[in-house]
Order: sequence, then structure tokens, then C-alpha cells
Amino acid sequence: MPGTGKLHVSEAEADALVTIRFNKRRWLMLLGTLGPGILASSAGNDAGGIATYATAGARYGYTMLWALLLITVALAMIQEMATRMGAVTGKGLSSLIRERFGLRATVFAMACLLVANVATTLADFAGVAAAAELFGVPRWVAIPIAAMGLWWLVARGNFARVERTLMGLALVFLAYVAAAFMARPDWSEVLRNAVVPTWPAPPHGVGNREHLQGYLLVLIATIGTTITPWMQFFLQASVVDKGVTIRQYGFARFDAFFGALTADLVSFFIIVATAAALFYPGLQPHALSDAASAASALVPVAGRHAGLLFGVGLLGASLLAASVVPLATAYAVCEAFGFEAGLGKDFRRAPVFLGLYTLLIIVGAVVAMLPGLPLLPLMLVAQDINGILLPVILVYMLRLVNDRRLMGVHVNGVGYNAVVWGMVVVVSVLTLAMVLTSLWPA
Amino acid sequence: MIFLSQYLNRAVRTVAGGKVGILRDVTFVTEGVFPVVSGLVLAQGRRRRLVPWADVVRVTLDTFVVRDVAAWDDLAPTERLLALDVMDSQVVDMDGAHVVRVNDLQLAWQGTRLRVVGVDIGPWGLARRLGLAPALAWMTRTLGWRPPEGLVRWDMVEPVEKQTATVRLRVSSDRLARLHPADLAEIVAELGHEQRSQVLEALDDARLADIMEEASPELQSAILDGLDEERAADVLEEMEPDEAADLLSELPEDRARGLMERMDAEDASEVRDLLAYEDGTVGALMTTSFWEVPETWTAGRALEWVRGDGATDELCSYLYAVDAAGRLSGVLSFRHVVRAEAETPLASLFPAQMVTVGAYEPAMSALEKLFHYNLLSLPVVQDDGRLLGVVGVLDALSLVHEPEEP
Repeated sequence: MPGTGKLHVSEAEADALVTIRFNKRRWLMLLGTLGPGILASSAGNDAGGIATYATAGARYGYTMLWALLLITVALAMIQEMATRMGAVTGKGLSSLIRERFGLRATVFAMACLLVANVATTLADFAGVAAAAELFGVPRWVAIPIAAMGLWWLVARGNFARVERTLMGLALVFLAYVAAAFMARPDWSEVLRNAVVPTWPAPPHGVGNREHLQGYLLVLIATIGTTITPWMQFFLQASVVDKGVTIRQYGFARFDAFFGALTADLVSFFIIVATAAALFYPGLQPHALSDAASAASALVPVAGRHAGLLFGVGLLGASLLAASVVPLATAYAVCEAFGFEAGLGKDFRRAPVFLGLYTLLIIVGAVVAMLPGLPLLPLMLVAQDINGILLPVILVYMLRLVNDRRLMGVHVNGVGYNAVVWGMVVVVSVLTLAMVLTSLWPA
Repeated sequence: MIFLSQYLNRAVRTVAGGKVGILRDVTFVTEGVFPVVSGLVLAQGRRRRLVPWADVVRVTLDTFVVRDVAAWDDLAPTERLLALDVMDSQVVDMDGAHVVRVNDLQLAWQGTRLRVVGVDIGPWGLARRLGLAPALAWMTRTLGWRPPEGLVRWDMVEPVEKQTATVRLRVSSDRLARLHPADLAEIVAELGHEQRSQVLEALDDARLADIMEEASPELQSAILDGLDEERAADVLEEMEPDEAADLLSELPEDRARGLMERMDAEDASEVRDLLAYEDGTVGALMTTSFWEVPETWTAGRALEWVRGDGATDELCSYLYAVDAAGRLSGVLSFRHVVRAEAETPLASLFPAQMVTVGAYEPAMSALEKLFHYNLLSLPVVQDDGRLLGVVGVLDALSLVHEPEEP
């Protein structure tokens, strides 16, 4: 009769087919929920990240591996916190800060984020320049093209596809895993250093103070590039966008942990490969002033094409971060202050959003183009700025995630608070120590 | 114009002139369209003091004079704090139909009462609170471009935060419910989980089903997660069967099966049948909510049925006539049926040709046929000619529409 029983498939037949459609879907769902954490962590392995890990390996051998292990534990917990806050509240980190702490505290948080992200964007344009110079293209040609290309991407709005391509290019850095093995490092030495904190002996001709100063600079940069402030905003926003609720939280938590682990595994092998290739104990540390020397660790894998391989990976990673970071900044700021945001909106509808995105790209591109600027040290300093500002963002996050009115039973456990508060204290102390060592009269 | 931010942090004095505290907040009650300020909240060192409006002697931009300062007393159940509860919270701007954030509140005098008349959602409110208003004014003069005022009348915003919404939840849900489902879906997408469930709780099942049909798959599953099983099943019943099937296929299998068991048996079986088709086939795209009539009927009988049982079906451009075995025998434009005499047999109105599509064909082929033959909907038939469902042009267009947000 009209309106009912229009389909003529037997119940059993339909049931069998339904099972097929669901099973397929289950995999899609897993893939759909996976992602934010992995993307956030792997975008952390950007130009600045590569430069920092390569410097750590070349200057201090394996002696920073134990720190990386601890940083990875903290990274996993912090990413999980951001994911949990997104899943429980359904709101971005900016919104929560604004609603919980008011306007002035929000302005402060956003100012810190902005400074850190300008530095990161700058580092990534420096990465574009370094990659271009490996191919023999001058930076004043490569950077304007890259900047305009990235800007156009947002105007056009087909961002997701390009994002995936760039992520693919950045996978080139998996070559470091092979390079680490082919360099035949002393694995017992590597493992010992990964677990037992070791203090690297100062090389000949380097004073203790200078040595400590350099070490702190690289250590803070390693923390700052692995756990970046922008990543937490980006991650929480993605979790909210994907509609993850505390009910389907299992996948998202797995994603947060898994992302932290895979990203830092790559960092680990970068340090091992560069340490095995470039570090000679007791001798003057390798200067590592340009990308070519960082690329030379890849020689065991790619031979004379090492520079090319490194250049492609660096370009992909730099472009990815140079587009994601300004975008994440614009989203976070607009969310905090209630301005309209979104890809595919024009200047009249979303002036602050597009303005910020444009400003970050212009500042990053223009500064990176200054002739004679040493690119690798620049990338390192940018990561230091991220490291120094990290505690500020972590304190906001900790206070929010421990707020029972907001999180209910999903507040942090004791272990979490101990580790993350510990991170805040450690980074602050390291920063203070760095300032003191540079101010102290010789 | 007066704004709350201009009052906050000013000194409050007694009639004698002594300073008694700093103004931190004001309380308000809803009374008519615009809420009225019912008292001042002062800070005396670390203590809070409440001054009822009756004890307020004079208020100007830089002086607050009060008669007496009471110890902090609990607020009346109808009273709310303006700065704490409303400032920095999210509200729905009913005019633009989107979610905005309150940067400042506009006040106005009505006789001796101070009323909340508007909400500042623009950059001026931000600048004023940060003490940067002169800087912003200078910048706009220099640039020759003035950012929008961003003032919205109080009665044109709807609170959605927990603290503010309790003041008038009834009103707010009624007004929000009158928005177009597509706008409401966009608003709901921007809210946090708690605010979202607050708004959704106040809507009836049919209204919620409308919103679900407009929402992205991510939002759909998030909304469904916030509902209890029974309500979720009720909402699924209200949705068009093809939309409900698409939504269920996004869920984990055990949850989807659990929901289907709770659904009304007839609706559930329709949805289950649609779920049998794999993604990307015509079957997964079609709906079963359309006008199907026996071929033996007359135009008058068919119209009578349309007015009754058929009134709520989704696709209503054509009537599909079937024989006793359920095989499609003719497609009738609704317009032709309306214009025909009541006693005309439907069979005499059948066109010479019918365009159909198979359920297992790729979904794209349905879209191609719809365009090629300029149709609003396309019947889906089995090999033996039995009618399974219909693909509407709007559903088919979703195949080529790429969402702009990543």
C-alpha cells in the first residue's frame, strides 16, 4: 500500500548487506577520528624542529636523548589534556580562556601565542629559504613565491588537499630512520643515553659557562619545538570540529598518545643520525650553520643526493607549518575575541581573520628574506621563544583542565598534574638559568 | 551612550564622601523587554558588598554615591550578575543568526532606573575594556575606515550560556525554534556541548530532526551522542528515512543497531532496507518518502490521498504509479494530476517513456540522468521493474557540493 513496504529485499538479505556497510564505516570512523593528534605532532617536526634536533645531535651527540624521552611523556599528556578538554566541553581553548579568565587574561594569552607563532612562521620561511638554497634558488626568489602561494591557497579554500600533499612531502624525513641505522651507531650507547641523564663534556677551547649557555639554548629549543603552544590550540579546535564527545573518547585519546609517540620517534632518529654522522666527542662542536651540513647526515641513505632529499623534505615540512601556523593563529585569536573566521570568507566578512593570516605570512616572509641572516640559528632561536612561552599556555591549560565546574569527573589525575606542573617549573627554571648565564659577568 | 565597562572599577562613596569600595559588578533582574539594574556589587579589600538599588543615591560616569553598604547577601533567585554572567559569554544574534561573544553591555537611564538595553559584540567594546578606545579611534581616522559598531539591541540576542539562559530559557527556546533549521544548525555547531544540550532539550523531536537533516555528519553524531537512547530513536523516526540511514551508517554498528531496535518498527525497517545499499550507490542516495499510488486509481482519488496520508512525504513533484506486484507502471507530474478531471484514470495520463535508474548503479549516474532529462526526481527500480525508491535532485546535488570548511 502507499507509503509502506516499498522495498522488496528480504529481511535476512538486508541484514547481511547492512553488516558490510557498517564494517566499512567503522574503519572510516577510526581514520576520521585519528588525525588531529597525528597532524599536530607531525607539523611539530617542521623546519624549526629539524634544525633543532639536528643541532642537538651534531653538538651534543646522544646526550640529549634522555631529555627527549621525558619531553615525549609530557607531550603525550599535554596533547591528551587538550583533546580531553575539547571532547568534554565542545569548545576551543581560546573560548575557554576567555570565558574562565576574562578579557585581560585572554589578551595576555593571545599576545604570547602571537609572539610564539610569528617566530614559528618566520622559522618556517627560513626553512623554505634553506631548502631553496640547497637547490641553488636564491631566497629572494623562493620566499615571495611560497608566501604568495600560501596566501592564495587560503583565498581559494582548497586547503585540505594541499595539506595532505605537504604532509606527504614531509614524510621524507622518515629517511632519517634509515640513515640512523645505516650510520651504524653504537646502539648500547644510544639506549644508555636515552635512559640515563648524561652531561656532555665541554669540548676543547670552550669555557664552562659558554658550554652551559649553548646547552640550555638547545635544550629549551628542543622542548619548545616538540611541545608548541599553537599545537594545543590547533588540536583542541580540531577535536571540537570533528564533533568528538567524551563518549567516543577512546579513539581520540589513542590518537593523542600515538601522535606524540610517532612524531618523537622521528625526532629521536634525527638526533641519532646527526650524532652518528657529525658529532666528534671532545672536538669543537659542529657549527651546523646551514642546511647543507644538516643534510650531510643523510649521506649514508642518499649518497650524493642527500642534499636533494633533505631539501624536498624541508620544503614540504616548512610549507606545511608556514600555512598551518598562521591559520591556527587566526582561528585562535578570532575565537577568543568573537570575530568571524573561516576559510573561503572574504575580507569584508572576516577582516581580522584574513588580516592576521596575511600579516603573519608577510612578517615571516619579509624577515626571512633579509640578506645575510643565518638561517639555522634563526630557526633555533624561534624554537627557544616557543619554549620560553610554553609555561604560560600550560598554566592556562592546567587551571582549566582542573576546573570541576568545567570538566566534572574528567579533571586531571595526580600523576598528570605532577608531570605537567613539573614541566612548567622545569622550563621556567631553565629559562631563568639561561637568562642568568648570559647576564653573569664573565 | 553608557557602557558597563565605563562604570566598573570606579570608586563608590557614601553621602558623607568617604570611599567605601570599588564597583566590580551590577546585579540585574528581567522586567519587561530590557532588564533593570537591581544593585551594585562592591569590593572592599577582599570582601564583597551588595548595595540594593534603593540605597543608591547618585550615579554619574565617575561618581557612585550610596546610602548604606550591606554585608554580602545572597542574590535573589531572579537576580543575575551582569559582568560575571553575561560579559564574555556567547549569545545568539537573532538578526544575523549566528553566535557572537559579548564584549560589553550598553546601559540607558529610564527615569531613575538603569536598564540593560544592548550588547556590544564589536571591536569597540573590546577596545573600551582594554582602555584602547582612543587608540582605535585614532587608527580608524588615520586609515579612513571605521570598523562596524557591533551594537545589538538586548531583545535581539538570545542567551545560551547556562547562567544567563536560566533567566528566560522558555522565551529563548521559543525564539530560537523559529529560526530556519539551516541557520539553527549552524548556530548549534558553534556551541559547546553543555550549551548545545540546553538549546536542544527545549526543542521538540520534529524540530530537532529538521536540524539534524541540515547538520554535517560530525555535528549529527555529536548531537546524537548528547541525547539519551529513547530521544535519539524518536528523532531518527522523525527524520527522512534516507537521512536517518546515512546518519546511522556513520555510527558504530552496535550503537546503530541499538537505536534501530528502539525505533518504531515500520520506520526502522524502512531505514534498515536503505542501509542495505553500499555507500556511493544510487540505493544509498534514494529516499522512500515519496508519492506511490496504485495504477488503477483516478486522479481525484490520488489527490485525495495526497492531501491525507501523502501530505508529509519528502518528494512531491511526481506521483509514481505501481501495479499490484509493486512494479513501476507510470510517472505522473503532479501538475498534470492536479489539472486532470477528478474521474480521469491515472493510466490515461502516463507518458510514453519513463526514465529510471537501478539501485546498485553508481550514485553519479542518477545525477547525470536528472540533469540530462531535466527531472526533479528519479525513480529507482529493481531488475524486474519493482519500485524501490526515488532520488531527489537536491540529494543528488550533495554529490558535487564540496563543503568549504576543512
